[in-house]
Amino acid sequence: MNAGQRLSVVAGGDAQRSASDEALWKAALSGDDRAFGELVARHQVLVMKLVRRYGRTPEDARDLAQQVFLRAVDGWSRTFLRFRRQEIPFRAWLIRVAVNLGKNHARQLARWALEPLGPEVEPAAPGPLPVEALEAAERSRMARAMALKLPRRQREVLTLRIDAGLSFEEIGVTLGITTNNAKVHYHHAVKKLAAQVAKER
Amino acid sequence: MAGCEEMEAKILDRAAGALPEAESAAVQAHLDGCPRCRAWAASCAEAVQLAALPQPSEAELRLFAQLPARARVVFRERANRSVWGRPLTVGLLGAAVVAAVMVVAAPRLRGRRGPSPLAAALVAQPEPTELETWALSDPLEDQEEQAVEDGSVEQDDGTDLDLDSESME
Repeated sequence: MNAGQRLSVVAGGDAQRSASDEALWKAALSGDDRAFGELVARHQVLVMKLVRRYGRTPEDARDLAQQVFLRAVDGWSRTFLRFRRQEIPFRAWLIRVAVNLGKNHARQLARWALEPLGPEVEPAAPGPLPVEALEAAERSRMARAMALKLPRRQREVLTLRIDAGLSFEEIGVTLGITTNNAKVHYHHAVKKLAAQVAKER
Repeated sequence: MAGCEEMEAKILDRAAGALPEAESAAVQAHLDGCPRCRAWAASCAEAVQLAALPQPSEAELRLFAQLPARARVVFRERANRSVWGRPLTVGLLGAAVVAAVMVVAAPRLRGRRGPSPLAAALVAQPEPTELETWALSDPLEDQEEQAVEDGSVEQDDGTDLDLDSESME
């Protein structure tokens, strides 16, 4: 009996809540849906923050988040067993899958050029918005569009930082780069964005 | 460079909310006395603020609260499908291979040269999808980026603003 099956047999609510991500992950791989549910509950806020930028609507983002969890579990066996890569912590793997699926989702729908980016903003009150609010919303939309057009690594570091609030150390682990390198990419991204925002003013 | 060079990294860290507490007083003191750095720090902070997503709405929070239950149902359905669907999948795959072989072999048996375009399409090996490549097999690796050593990324003076460039992809 492997570790995943053992967890599946003995796990009650408390046992699952105290199990490590990796133990739950292996249990989910052996088909334990309670372990999978616990993983989702544990990381749903993080994944939600990561995929919001790529979803056209909240429903779209929720479905994307669901796909992220399913793919993360599936992908583990493909990537780490078939290709014999070095295993990484589940959380870092989950973030990688979320960013990649989000990016792919946005590209498939050719959304970057055609549609406003990120979740639709609900107006606070009925009726027309003041001109200032409309201008601010438009500038924000443009800045988000610019962020997604940054070079790949800069875009990834920037969104991991401002969407999910990850530390540079965690961003480095997630992307397989050093903490300092993550920071350098972030600096470049912000400099470009600031210059571009100023130009559009 | 829009401000004092020695302050650039600290101002950018400050815009990220990543400036160590111990350094914030010194940076603030510099900003108080340097209008150029102050203006640049404000524009960096504004850019980050503009690029950030708005807070999730009530409707979004409600939708996302459904996620664990929904995902678990889909997971269970997939697990059941994979148990019962495996023999069927193998059978279908076998039938597809036999059909492809027959399509390829038939013209040869009739003395024709090479398979028809339709047959060629049928026997073409499926390419891995971008999704597979990105999300599963090669997550976020970037060969060019791997060559970048710490701090050796070429200095960006803000003049290279071709945001359409995907040269780092």
